[in-house]
Amino acid sequence: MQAATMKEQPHADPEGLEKLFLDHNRRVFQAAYRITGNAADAEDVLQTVFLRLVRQGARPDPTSLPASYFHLAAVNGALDVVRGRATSRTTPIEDVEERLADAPGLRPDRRHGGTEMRERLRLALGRMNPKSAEVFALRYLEGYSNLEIARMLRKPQALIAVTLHRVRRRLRDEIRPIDGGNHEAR
Amino acid sequence: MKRDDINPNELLDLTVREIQEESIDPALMDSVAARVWSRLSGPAASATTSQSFPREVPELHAIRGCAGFQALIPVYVAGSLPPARALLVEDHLRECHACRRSLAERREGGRPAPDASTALAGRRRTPAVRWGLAAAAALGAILVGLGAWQRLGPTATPGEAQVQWVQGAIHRVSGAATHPLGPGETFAYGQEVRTAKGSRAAIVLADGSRVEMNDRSEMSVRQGGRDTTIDLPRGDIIVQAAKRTSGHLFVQSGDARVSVTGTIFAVNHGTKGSRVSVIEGEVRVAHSAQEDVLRAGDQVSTHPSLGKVPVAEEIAWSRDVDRYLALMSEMASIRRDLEQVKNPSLRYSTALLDAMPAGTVVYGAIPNLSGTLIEANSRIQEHIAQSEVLRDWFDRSGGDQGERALERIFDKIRVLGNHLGSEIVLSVQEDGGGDLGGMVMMAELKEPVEFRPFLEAEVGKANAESRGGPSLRVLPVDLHFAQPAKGSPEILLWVHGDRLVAGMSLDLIRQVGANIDAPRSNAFLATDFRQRIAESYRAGAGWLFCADLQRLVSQAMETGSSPASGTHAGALQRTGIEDARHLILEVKESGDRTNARAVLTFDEPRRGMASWLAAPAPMGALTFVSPDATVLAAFVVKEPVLLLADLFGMIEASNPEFGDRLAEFESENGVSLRDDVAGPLGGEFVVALDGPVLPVPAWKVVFEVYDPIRLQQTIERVVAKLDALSRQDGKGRVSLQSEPSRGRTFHSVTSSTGEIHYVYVDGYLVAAPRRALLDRAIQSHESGYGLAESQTFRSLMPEDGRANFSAVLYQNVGPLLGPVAQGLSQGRALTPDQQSAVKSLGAGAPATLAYAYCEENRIIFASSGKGTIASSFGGLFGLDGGEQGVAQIFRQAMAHVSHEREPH
Repeated sequence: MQAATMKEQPHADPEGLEKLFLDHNRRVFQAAYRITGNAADAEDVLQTVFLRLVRQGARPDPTSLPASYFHLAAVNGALDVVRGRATSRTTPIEDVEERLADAPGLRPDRRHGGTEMRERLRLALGRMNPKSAEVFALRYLEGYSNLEIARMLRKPQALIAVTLHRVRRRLRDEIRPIDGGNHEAR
Repeated sequence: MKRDDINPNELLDLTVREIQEESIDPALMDSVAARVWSRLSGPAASATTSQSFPREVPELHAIRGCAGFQALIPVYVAGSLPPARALLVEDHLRECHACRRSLAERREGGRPAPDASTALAGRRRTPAVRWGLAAAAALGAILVGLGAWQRLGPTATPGEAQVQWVQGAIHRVSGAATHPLGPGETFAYGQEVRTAKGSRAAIVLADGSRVEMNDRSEMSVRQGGRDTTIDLPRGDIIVQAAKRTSGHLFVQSGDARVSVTGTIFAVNHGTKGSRVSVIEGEVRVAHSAQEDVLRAGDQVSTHPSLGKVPVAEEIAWSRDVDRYLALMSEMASIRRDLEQVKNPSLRYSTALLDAMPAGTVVYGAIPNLSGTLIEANSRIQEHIAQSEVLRDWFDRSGGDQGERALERIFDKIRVLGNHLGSEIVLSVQEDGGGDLGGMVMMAELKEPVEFRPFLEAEVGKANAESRGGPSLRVLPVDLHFAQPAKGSPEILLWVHGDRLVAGMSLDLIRQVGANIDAPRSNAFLATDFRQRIAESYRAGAGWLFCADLQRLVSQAMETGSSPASGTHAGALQRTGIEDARHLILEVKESGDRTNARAVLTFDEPRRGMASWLAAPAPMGALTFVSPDATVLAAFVVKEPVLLLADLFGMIEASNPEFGDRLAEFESENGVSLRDDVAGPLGGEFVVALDGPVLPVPAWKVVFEVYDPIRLQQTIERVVAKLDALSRQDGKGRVSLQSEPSRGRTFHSVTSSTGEIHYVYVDGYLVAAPRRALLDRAIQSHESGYGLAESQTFRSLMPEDGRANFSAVLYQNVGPLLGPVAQGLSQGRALTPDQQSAVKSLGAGAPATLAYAYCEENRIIFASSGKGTIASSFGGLFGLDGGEQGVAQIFRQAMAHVSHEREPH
């Protein structure tokens, strides 16, 4: 629905965009942070979300883009990042440094079961089917109800429930420690 | 408690909670926001003020299309564009060929060395560009993620394909030069790309289709009208064809042409030939003068030496091999599961038949399919919900819209279907004056008390949404209180006991009510027609349509017996149709096949036209038709001489002067149609379209000849006469040539309008427009491999214990329509809509076979084809019109009937 609104308004409006940015930048950043687990990636996502608005030459009407649009955009952008992380075999050294600096859980001095679990959950989300990961993030990380998600994604509510059930089961299996040790992502 | 000890569900919840509770420093968020906003708006903005970011305020002007981007190119080349703007320009340049050309022209004018510009691009890797690249990478990641890819749609512009990812190297090849391509780069249609040794790449076409290339593969893309063709001179590709509303996607390898509309398949084209494997959906492969239809898991090779390999092995090189294999296995599992869905069981009795009005001349019954349809739908949904690969596939297939429409339809079917009994019957009455009167529909109700409020609510909704057409009205339980019909046509609905009765005439509904209450007093029970219908039920009824021809025909004869139309009625009597009693059409499902059967019964042994078809007999003439025939009609007739006598009798009945004129014609031409034309003929006739339809349709006529010498003499006399007439009219000669060849004599009749070649072979005359077709027919006949032996034809044969047919109608026009549509579109004889209609007809037209068995006093017509009623549900109800619902369909049916009738 949002995309259609923007297509109908093909010219950028700096004030509208600024208003949108002011209203929603924290929402996007926080949602992205929850999924990516680090500020640098979340900043990337924030920029990408708004860059797309500018790129589409849209004149966003603040009232036409609800918070859920930004949540959804942030969730998808962030899932793309963790997905890249889950599948990439090589990472530029500067990014590794950044991530190490940003993710205290990976530093030996702050290694902690919870941090490791969080990182494992994020990686597992990245390996998951994008749709399923999206539904999970909206439900459990962003706190939307099944009905709200069904409306946002235009899917039957029953399907959302089934998807959540399956994603939970899979995540549960994936993050469970094996022999108490850390296991590598496949 | 140690984490390792806790229940996995709790561990997940705990981890989720920890993520939710992770705190972020507000100062960090502010600084991030300021940085991002500054990058979005550019340093040029810093002059003005803003409420939140004092030194970094937007100065965004809209970039309007390509013109906007091209206006920025000079500033971009000069290096003075703000980084955010430069990022947008670079992003657009990756997608737009025209703007890249503008950039190249600008650079050639200003900076001759291309290396310099590369260096410039390298220098411009400021933090902002790094962010931009990150954004682009995120965009790329979205493209890789299938779901998101579908949501964003294809990124390649028309006439261009875009490299989605590369592992190793892919080059654009033109002449001696090669140019490496990177992810996001595009190449124009018509240009060739090639993957290097050990490399793989994925390409997205302008229509959204995705092509994954194995190493050492070479391909190019071209667009012709609405069709897209991928030329594959060599190599190994996997194509995920996008769903398209018009046109096809073709893959042309050296010796095979694959056509699809939204499916996943692999083509491997090597030195020995091509091998096509299907992962999902259905593709058509034309190769070696034949066409194969392949479905998921099928494979075909163009050369026997290529052999077959498991599909899994064939696609093992793909990045997505796991997903493809999972998809194949899910699809197979759905198919197996759907085969288990029970069709509505046959009905061996009915309580509705005996309540039909006495004047019933047409009776129809359809099973309540709701259970089957809902079961099939829920099994599919279950599979989709449980399988991520299917979910992906469903989304890519435009699942959303279809799903919503389906949901609405299934909701209605579920509710209505649950209320109704096992069948819905319909009867059409003859009003005593020879006209078809009212129509009544009836069904049993499972819960009449609950149904009434539901019906009232639905009727209210339907009337509110109605645009024209008759309105719906629920009648009171006691019909004494029913208001008479108003002026405008209405569909009346009445719940009586456990029955729902619907119709347009209150009188008829009253009559049905009386029959329900006192069935024994119903005069319909004593009729032959009712007995015949009951017989069909006893044998098991699926879909049933019965017509009382005796009554309908006698009414028609009486109506036509006025002095003015007396001759017409006489001709009708000669047809033998007067003796027709009943027509019973039945459609029953058995396994995955749907068998349709029509039985026409007669009071007396068939006579007149109704007796022309002979009892089932062997058809030797079929051996002259090749397995590639697209249309065929073959029949055995009783004595051609008697047939001719019947025909002449019929014509004479309506035109008494015919006999004299015939005698005159015969004496003038020295030919007796009865003795010289019909006399030498046997009883078999075959007409076929057996070869290309353009430029001259490759028709073929074969008939049995008992006396070839006499027939040849007749032909010679007729040709001589035609020659004289033609020359008299100044239209040139008509000549008959005979040429002996390989022990046979080939004859040809040539005139200014064309040629007909014919030959006598083993008691048959074979005629065709070209000599080559005769040679081919003889070859088929002698090799014993004719149409009857082909796999397509044999797969359609009914399993009914009969060895022969009286008549056969066969079509396999799918392969024929493609070239016809192309030919017509080249000549611009068809509108684009018509072309697409013809193409889609061809693409979706499976071969069908209809046949007839004639017995002494009945003719059985039947046809068989694959597929079940449930599978054709979409077409039956029209998914696009899903919102209309059952009430609207009923309304339309009734409106049609009311339109047929005169308004009272």
